[in-house]
Formats: sequence, structure tokens, C-alpha cells
Amino acid sequence: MSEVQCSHCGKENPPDLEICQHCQSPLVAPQQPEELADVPPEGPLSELTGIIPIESAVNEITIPKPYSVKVRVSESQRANVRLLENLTKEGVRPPSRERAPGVTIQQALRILTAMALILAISWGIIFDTPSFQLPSADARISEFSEHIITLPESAPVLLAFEYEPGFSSELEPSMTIILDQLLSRGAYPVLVSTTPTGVVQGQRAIGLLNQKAGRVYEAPSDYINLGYIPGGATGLNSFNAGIRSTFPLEANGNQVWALPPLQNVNSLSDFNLVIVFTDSTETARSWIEQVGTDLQDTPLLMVASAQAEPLINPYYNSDPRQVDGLIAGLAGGAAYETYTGGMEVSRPLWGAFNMSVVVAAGLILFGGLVSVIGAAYKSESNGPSGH
Amino acid sequence: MIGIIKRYILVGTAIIAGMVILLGYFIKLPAIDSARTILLNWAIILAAVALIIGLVNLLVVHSRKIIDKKSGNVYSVILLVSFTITLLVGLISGPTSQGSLWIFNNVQVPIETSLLGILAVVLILGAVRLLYRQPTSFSLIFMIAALVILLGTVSVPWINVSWLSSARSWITRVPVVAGARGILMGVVLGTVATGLRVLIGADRPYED
Repeated sequence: MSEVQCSHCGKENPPDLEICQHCQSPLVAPQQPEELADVPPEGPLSELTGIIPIESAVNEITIPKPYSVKVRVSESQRANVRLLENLTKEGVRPPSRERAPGVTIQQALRILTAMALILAISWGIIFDTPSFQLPSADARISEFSEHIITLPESAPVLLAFEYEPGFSSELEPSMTIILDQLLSRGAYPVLVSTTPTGVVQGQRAIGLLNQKAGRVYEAPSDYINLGYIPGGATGLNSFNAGIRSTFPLEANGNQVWALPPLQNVNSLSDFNLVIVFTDSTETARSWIEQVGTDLQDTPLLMVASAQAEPLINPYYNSDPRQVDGLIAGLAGGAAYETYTGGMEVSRPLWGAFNMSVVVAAGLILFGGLVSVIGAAYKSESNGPSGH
Repeated sequence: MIGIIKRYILVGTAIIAGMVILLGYFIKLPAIDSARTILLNWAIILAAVALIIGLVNLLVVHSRKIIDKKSGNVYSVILLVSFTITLLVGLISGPTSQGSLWIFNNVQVPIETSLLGILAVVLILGAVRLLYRQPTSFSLIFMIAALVILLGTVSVPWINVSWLSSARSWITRVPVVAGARGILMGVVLGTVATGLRVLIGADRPYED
């Protein structure tokens, strides 16, 4: 179809528009001849084509609508309209880049950075680095440990595995020590998760402990894995409202609540301790808000990734406390290891972690300086106007 | 007429369900508690069903890509094969069996950890390029904060300066929490407003 000319500004417009895209005035499309070629439904000329339907044509003759009001549109609004039209018409196409042959500077930098980090981590793992002292424990860690060592025998303890597999190496050192403390004191861990991988994550943690401690802890005599709670915060709310109705069976379909350590557990406040292992602030918040408020005297402890620490810390510092103990990141795990004198699980990673962090900081510092000099040189070579 | 009745039923159901859950937080009555528990159990069943529907949709999309021979369909084949193997192992021997653990330990954990490793490299380069692209005072502050956080975490003897650790602690406890709390307050206010709109029937997302 042909373009439609605007009667107001005279510019061409696509045929499907009702408003001029240049001046926003209403467009009047030229009448198509086919519209007049209606077939009269009745009368002497019925079923004849190619005639002008007089009656309907006469009826349609009306006073033209007064299109006197011009839409007031600013230049920026017109630009937005044009942008929206372009987006909806053509879609968004990523700019095509012609790749230069060989390795580009960016690729070389990425490879060099990766190699520097790999070298630092390897150095830390291969060579024993006792000079990297494990950090000392603070009040959050000592209180965490206090809650565990005061547990009675066969005490049911709820453990929530709420982290993605990528964060395993950060959280597993502290988790292994905590599990060892719990199981060696005869506590009965009950594993749950609101993430689909959490069910396997908990099982992996028990497997790691068995491997490192040289013991054989088995379900359901030593612990139980309830499985996955779907629905995120809603699922947690449901779990809190009715623990037995949410989990009538455990992850592999066996009966749970007849087991001796769980016979008296009817709500979450019947557990002696709740420990959440998480890499996310959102999940931590869900546990504090949906579960923590109904726990009564049962302490809620958190083992969090370093990235989640800043937002969980205020819950520990609040009065009354909403989180009763906090271990954060690999540094927190290492401090917990120092404090409890438990298995050496953080020590082998601590050297590599330190080396890689120092190398990363060095790269950022050096690269930042080079960038500042490069930016200054660029602006100088572009002239005083900066163009 | 049917449309109006349908609308009244939908709005009534949403308002009653929302009110029962909300009242359960404030009033401890056995009847409300029971109703709340039933509704929440329905919600998590629906969430689990949504997960299954998501999986079916994933399978359909990738099956179509293979049938239509679209570009990159080899990845769809890999996805379908991996999915089938994992599903069969989980169904036959259970989600916590040795087979499921083997797949988890040898496939999922290394892949996700590697992705985080790549992220570390990309973030380092991003920090370096930031000062080149935008050499402003805010970029400089960002860079200094990143360095303090990194170096304040470690305990390397020759850079174990006490003020670094204190500065790291201050950054994570004051500016970071202040900024994040501000965002959270905005989220909370938005959530309350949206919840109230749904509760009074002004917002009806379930009608779409």
C-alpha cells in the first residue's frame, strides 16, 4: 500500500498509522474503491456487484468530525514515540561487530587475569602457607558455638540448605565442622531446603563429613533428609504453619514422624536449634520473617556467604536478636575452626583464598592506575575541548 | 452475566484467601489456623505443579528446536539427554541416592563453581575498565571501596594492617547496609501497596 500524506505538514507516513508520526495530527486515509463496491442485501439490485449502494452512501454522509485540536507533544515525546515505533517495528538488533583476526587486547587481558588467578590459587594449594594465619573469632562466632555445645543428646536440629552449588567451597568448611559437632554430640539433624538442589546439597554435606571424619553417619538412624519445600517464602510459611502436614514423608518416601527423636516435634519451635546455610539475603530474610518470628526460645543461627553478610548482620545486632549467631564466608568458617579447634577444613583453602584475593587486588590497583593514565593521555591527545 | 459472576467469584476467592492468611498472623484461632494451613498447602502444591509445567515447557521448546533444526540445536540435544538421564536416576534410585550425588558432585558443582570463577575474572576486568571509561570521583570511590573490602578480608602478613580490617567492617556495616535498607524499604512499601490493592480487589492480576 502507498504512503499516506499528512494534510497538516505534508510529510509521508506509513499507511497503517492513524496519527502523523511527524506532527501528530490525525491522518485521513484515502478511501479505497473496494469500500464502495458493496453488494446490496435486498431490493431490486440485490446480488448485483459493481454498483454504488445509494442508500448506505447517503446515510454515511455526515458532517465531518472537527479535528481542530492538535495534540500537544514536546520534542522529547516525539522522539520517544519514534523510538517506540522503531522498537516495535523492527525489534532490537544487537550491533554487529566485525571481529579482528587473532587475539584482541580484551581477550589477552582476560586470559592473563585468569592465569594470574589460577597461578595464585595453585600456589596457595600446592605450597603449605602457614604464614596466612586463620582469623580470630568474634562474638557472633563464639555465641554460635555456645548454642551447639549446650545441646542435649538426641536433640532435633533443623538444618536448611539454601545455597547454590557454586557456593559450596565457601560454605562447606564451616558446615562440615558444625555437622561434626552436632553428630558427635548425638544431636539429630533434620535436613530441608527451599531450593531444588538443596536436597542433594544436604546429602553431599553428610558425605563430605563421612569422608573427612572417617565415620559412617546414615539416615534415618543418625539424621533425616525431609527434602524440598516448593513455593519459596509461601512454602516456608506453610512449613511453619504445619510441619507434619507439609512433610508427611521424607525425601525418599519413608515415614518420618514415628522416629524416636522426632516423636515430640509438632512445630518448628519444638526443634532445639534451627541453622540456615545460605548464599542469599532473600532466603535469609524469608527464614527470619516466616519462621524466626514463631520460634519462641529456639535459637535461629545463620551460616551465610560473604555476599549476604552485610544484610544479615543487622538482624544479629537487633534487640531482641532475630539471628542468634552468624558465621559469614570462608573467613568466618576459618575463624570458627580456630575457635572450636575442630577438623582442619578451612586451613587448606585459606592460603589459596588469601593469595587469590591479594592478586585480584593487585590487578585492580595496577590496572586502575594504567587506566587513569590512559584516560588522561586520551583526553590530552583529543585536545583541550575534549573532543 | 457469566463474566460478571466469574469476576465476583475470582475477586471474592482472592480477597478471602488473602484475609485468612493475613488474619492468621494477628489472631490465634484454631479455625483460622486450619484454614490458613490448608490454603498454604494448596499454594505449595500449585508451586510444585508450576515447576513441573516449567519443565514440560522447557522440554517442548527444546524438542521443537531439534525438530525444526534451528541453529544451536545441538545444545538442545545435550539438554534433553542430560535431563532424561538425571530424571531417570532420580526416579529409579531416589533424589539422595549415590547416582544423583555422582551427577551433582561431578557435573553441577564444577560447572556452577567455574561460572563463579569466570565471574571473578570479568569483575576484575570490569573494575579496571571502569576508570578508563568513566574516570570520575565515584568510580574512584568504588575502586577504593573494592580494594579495602578485598584486602580487609585477608590476613596476609605483610599487608595485615588493622585499619584495613576496621575500614572493611565499617563499609559493610554502615554504607552498604544503609543503601540496601533504603532499597528494601522501597520494596516493602511497594509490596504493602500491591498487597492492599489485591486485598481490596483494586488489582486483579488473576484475571489476565
